[in-house]
Amino acid sequence: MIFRLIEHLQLAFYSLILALAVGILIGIFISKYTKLAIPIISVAGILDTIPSLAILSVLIPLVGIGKPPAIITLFLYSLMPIIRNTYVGIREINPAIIEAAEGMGMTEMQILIKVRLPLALPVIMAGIRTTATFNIGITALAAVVGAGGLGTFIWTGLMLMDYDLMLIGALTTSILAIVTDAGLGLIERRIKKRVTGRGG
Amino acid sequence: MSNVKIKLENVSKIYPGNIIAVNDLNLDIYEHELFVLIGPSGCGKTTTLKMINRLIEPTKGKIYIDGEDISRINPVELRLNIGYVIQDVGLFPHMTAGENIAIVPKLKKWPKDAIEKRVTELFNMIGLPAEIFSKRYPHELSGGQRQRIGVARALAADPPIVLMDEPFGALDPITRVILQDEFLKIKKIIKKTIVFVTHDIEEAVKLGDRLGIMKDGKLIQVGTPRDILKNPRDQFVRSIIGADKIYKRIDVLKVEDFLIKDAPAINLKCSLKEVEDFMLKSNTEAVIVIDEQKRPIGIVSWADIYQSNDKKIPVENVLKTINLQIEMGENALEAFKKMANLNLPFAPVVDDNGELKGIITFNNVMKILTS
Repeated sequence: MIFRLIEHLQLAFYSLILALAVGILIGIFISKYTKLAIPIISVAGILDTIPSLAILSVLIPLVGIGKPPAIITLFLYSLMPIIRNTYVGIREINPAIIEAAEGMGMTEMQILIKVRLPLALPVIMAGIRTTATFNIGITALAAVVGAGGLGTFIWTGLMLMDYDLMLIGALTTSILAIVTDAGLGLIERRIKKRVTGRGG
Repeated sequence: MSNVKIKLENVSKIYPGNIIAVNDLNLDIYEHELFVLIGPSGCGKTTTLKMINRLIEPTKGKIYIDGEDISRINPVELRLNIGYVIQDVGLFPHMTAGENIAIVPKLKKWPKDAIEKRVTELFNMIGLPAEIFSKRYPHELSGGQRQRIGVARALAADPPIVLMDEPFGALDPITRVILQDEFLKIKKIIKKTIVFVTHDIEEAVKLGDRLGIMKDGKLIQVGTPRDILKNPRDQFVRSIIGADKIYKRIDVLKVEDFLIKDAPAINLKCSLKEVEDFMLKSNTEAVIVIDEQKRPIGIVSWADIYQSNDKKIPVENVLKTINLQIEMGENALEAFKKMANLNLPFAPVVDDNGELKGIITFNNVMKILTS
């Protein structure tokens, strides 16, 4: 049980971290080259509309079964909210703040690290929360391809018509999602309060 | 004031579509002066300002600071040595007031204790106690406090040049006046070359050592507030300064602008009879009595003369002493205030040697202001 729980979290969060690394970079990139923003966000959006089972199935011939197709699927799903929120978070910064930063003699890199990212953080954090919660749900599906996690209980229960097992899987997954959402929500509000003095 | 600190040479900024923001501008800004660029929106004043710290690159022409072509200076390096204040302040909301002020010294890698000392010093200068305000975030400050922090931040690393883009523009009228007054005091202490953009003529006249009036990317007239108010070059300048409302700007005029040179004056040894004749001849109600060095001693009016039946006594025996002397170069408004306080209808004006140069009266104030 604990093993499956940890496995579940691992699946959800490894993919999230991967998505964060790639998504934030893409988000920064398109906030600078804004002409690319709409095409890239659209592509990431389309990825989100493909049913997760479909992606999982497509990936099996390519990467086999087990954790790899699950992590890739979750990663693809996570990309869009993170790219979009990074982009929006950066674009929404009051231009006067950026002008002041430039005018004071900050380099492009210093502005990004000391100004843009900290100020975009509340919005990026909101993206992370949505994604993390969502990922926990989708991870339950990943048990289908043998990735493990709490979904294992649900699928096994379904196959054996064991309602108790199904319920254990479903409940723990739900509780995990709710706790994650609440926990990240708390962090999000803290950050927002620090950055803008509002929220919370 | 003769050292040219910033020199703009044939500077133009042309945007795509042949939109000319700044058109062949030539301007010398002297060391330690506060130069105000003023004009209606879209006249190119902000563009001109931003070309000085290379936030905008000129299409044509050269800008020199201390004789050095700034296009050869790394823009980041250049900006670290130019303070910059904007209307929206642009304080970093995720940093405290103290951290905001410390930004440039930190970028310049000052030692920590030097930064701390400087930040405290600046809080004192802007009149906000450091112990209360240094830990506050921008959203915990009023608009006026934020703008003060913005000014302190621009001055933090003691840059020789400060650029200010409508710094008091977004404030309510009362706060604006208070901050302007504070800034005037700060300006005297800091000895910086300041380029200041505004569209408010009152502010320009109040703060500026010299003004440059801009229209359609060109400088129409450059001069001291006094020069411009007295001799607006054309109708546009007249409209900018509100020539019909000039009476509001008595505060920039000086005593000599109101000086009546041929003031009736008479030597203190003259007899009352001589004074009487003189007054009749010059058709005046009172004359100034001067000594051998032409220094005004007092005044004598008809009433004083009639006090005595003996018309042979010298005027020095009956004159009323004047407790007010106005010096050439004094601010006219201040001079008139002194006169009003003493209930004097006129006051003698003297030069450096105390020699009488003329008088000022309330009577010709309106005449001069409305001429």
